[in-house]
Amino acid sequence: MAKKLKSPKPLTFVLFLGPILALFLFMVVLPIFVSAYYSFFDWTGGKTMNFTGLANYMELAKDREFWMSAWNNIQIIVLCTIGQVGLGLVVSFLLISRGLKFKEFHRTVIFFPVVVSAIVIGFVWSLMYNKDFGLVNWFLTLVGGEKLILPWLDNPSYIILTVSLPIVLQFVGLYMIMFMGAIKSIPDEIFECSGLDGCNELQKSFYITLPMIYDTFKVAIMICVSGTMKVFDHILVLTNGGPGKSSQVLALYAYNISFDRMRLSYGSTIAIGILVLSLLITLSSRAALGGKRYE
Amino acid sequence: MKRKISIGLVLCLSFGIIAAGCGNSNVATDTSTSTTESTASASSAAPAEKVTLSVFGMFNTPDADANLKSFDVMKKKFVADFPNVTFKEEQIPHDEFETKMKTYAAANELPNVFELKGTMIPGLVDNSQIVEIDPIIAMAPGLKEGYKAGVFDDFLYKAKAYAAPFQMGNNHNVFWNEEIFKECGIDAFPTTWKDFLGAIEKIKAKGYVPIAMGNKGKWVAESLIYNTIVYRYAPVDWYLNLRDGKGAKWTDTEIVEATNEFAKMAKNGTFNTDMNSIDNIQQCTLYYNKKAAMFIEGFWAVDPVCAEAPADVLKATHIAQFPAVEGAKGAGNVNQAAAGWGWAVSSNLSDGQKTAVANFIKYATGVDYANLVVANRGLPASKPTKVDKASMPALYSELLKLNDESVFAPVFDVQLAPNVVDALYSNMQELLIGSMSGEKYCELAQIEMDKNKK
Repeated sequence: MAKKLKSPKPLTFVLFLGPILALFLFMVVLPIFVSAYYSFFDWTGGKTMNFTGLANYMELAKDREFWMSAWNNIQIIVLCTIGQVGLGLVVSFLLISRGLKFKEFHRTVIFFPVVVSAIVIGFVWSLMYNKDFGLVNWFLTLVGGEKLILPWLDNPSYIILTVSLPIVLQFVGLYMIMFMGAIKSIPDEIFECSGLDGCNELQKSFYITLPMIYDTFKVAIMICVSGTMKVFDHILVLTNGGPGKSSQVLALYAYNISFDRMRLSYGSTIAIGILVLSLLITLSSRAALGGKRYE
Repeated sequence: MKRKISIGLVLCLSFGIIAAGCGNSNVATDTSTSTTESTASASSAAPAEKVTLSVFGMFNTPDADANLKSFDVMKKKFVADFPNVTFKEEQIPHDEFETKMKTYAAANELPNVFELKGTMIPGLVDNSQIVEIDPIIAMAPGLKEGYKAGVFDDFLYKAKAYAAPFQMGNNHNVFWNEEIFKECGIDAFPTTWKDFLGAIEKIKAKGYVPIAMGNKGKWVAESLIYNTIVYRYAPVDWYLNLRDGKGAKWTDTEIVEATNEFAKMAKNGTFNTDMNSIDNIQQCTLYYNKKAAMFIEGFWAVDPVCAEAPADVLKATHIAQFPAVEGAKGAGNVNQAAAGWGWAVSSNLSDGQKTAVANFIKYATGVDYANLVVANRGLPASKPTKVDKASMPALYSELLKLNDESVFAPVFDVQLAPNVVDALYSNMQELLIGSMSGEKYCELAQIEMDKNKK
């Protein structure tokens, strides 16, 4: 007879959750309320604060730069969702399949960038994209593609693509691990039965694996969308929002308004704007994926 | 018993973490950056009152320039000479400095004395966070008389100065490689704008980048180059009238012309194609590797060039400025110059602290400091009394000569409001890649100027 697990006492819950909950409230929840408070003022730091009511929000609604940055965020979200979740799924299928060798090596190498700081990734990629000394152009020269050599971070027409690539490649490993965990939790019997019924590997993937991990898939998309909404460090290091403002994202805009132009109250208003937009986008992506689970 | 102890520990930990976040962060206790604290024990003739002086600056870059080297010496001297002063210092690199200083200002926790640039002054004065600098300078005998003329101009707000400058020099210096010029058939640096544009074509034809530019930080193109081109097309009075709201506008014909000229230069391949994704350090790399014939930098670059450039490149390097534009209203010898940054003093200091600050400013900006800066190939705000011309590197002598020949004019981004500067910086990148016209650039700058009038 299996030994029944003892349910923890309420005090144990408080002791274990208390510190982390206190930190979370202090560092995540409280700043939201503080930002909301500041957003009703005209404040450039220091003692002088003038109450302006909804004036900042009126300005935000008409602020072209805010909406342009939001559009950049949306483009990066689309690219990252396709890139990170899509590639993560494909790689996890490959790593689960029987044919691939050195699986642990591949898994480690693909996961490794996840634990590296975004600043480091951004810096490494800014070197890789360098027109004269970068790896990308060196490789193009090596394979005879000199005509394709470009100043990768200097043209607004493809800048969103070039700044998204490092973000995509950094986090593929995270989704790969999530999907691998989900796939491994599918009972082997189902695959064995389907094998006996004549399913090939592709059919197993489409008709068994994908439906069985659909919930994980939804969670992955939610994490990807909300994570990409707050992208900041990569772009700060790669382009600082340039050329012009063509790669400026919302978080970078809030930072620039707050610390370059010292409009701390309007920076707070943008932060609240980001919060509302993030909630809207995350909830609509959830609605689009449907609440039903495949049975 | 054990359980009670563990409960106690966990509670202490969680309260401790939160208390650490809530605590009134004293600048001096910050150990995340290079913080030094020293209380000298030697006695001297200094006043007996014990005071603490917190100092926040940006003399902490890996590439030690003239100011950093000189400040380091004078700081140690100050600590030794004033044993009654507990000197608490925090130095972080330039790019992070501005953000952290503004964060201190926002939280109303500014250190006693700190570096700032002119554009930051109005906000701090309106919030009563800094004090006028003249009464502080007057407390240190002989300090005021030692400064060069015009060095306080960048720190004026409502006709009062709010910071003590430690440097003053021209922002626009064309470092050019004589060997590459000769190879391209150009014997000397052009003296007319037409010849200069002709030289650019010849340099391009030989496969060199005419001017290496690293504008990733967004300020290089505007502050070091565009500013000069405007002064070639318009007299200095135009800027003064614009700044003081006396009728001049960004959209004035000559300014639009100057802006279009700069855009045309970029379009014609005067600069490297990745100009907006490399920084001003990387632009030097192009020059050092002989891929570029020129680069443009402020006076502060002379010391690093002397230290880092390969010997043959250094030998071939000379300093010049853009020539006059034929038929335009601006003069060919106007060069934007600035003190840029200076030491400001926070309000609410005790009398003892004010005396300590006055002495500190004398050590960090005065004549002794100026002598050291000159020895380290920089340009100080005070007049140096010891200049050893015999041991000067040739490039530094050229810099001094250019400074002497130039008529100094204000630097736009040091004096204009942050929203205008932001528009000038960000839109400049678009102008350079051809996605914005000169007319539009000027119009957007004027819109930001008009906002500040309201």
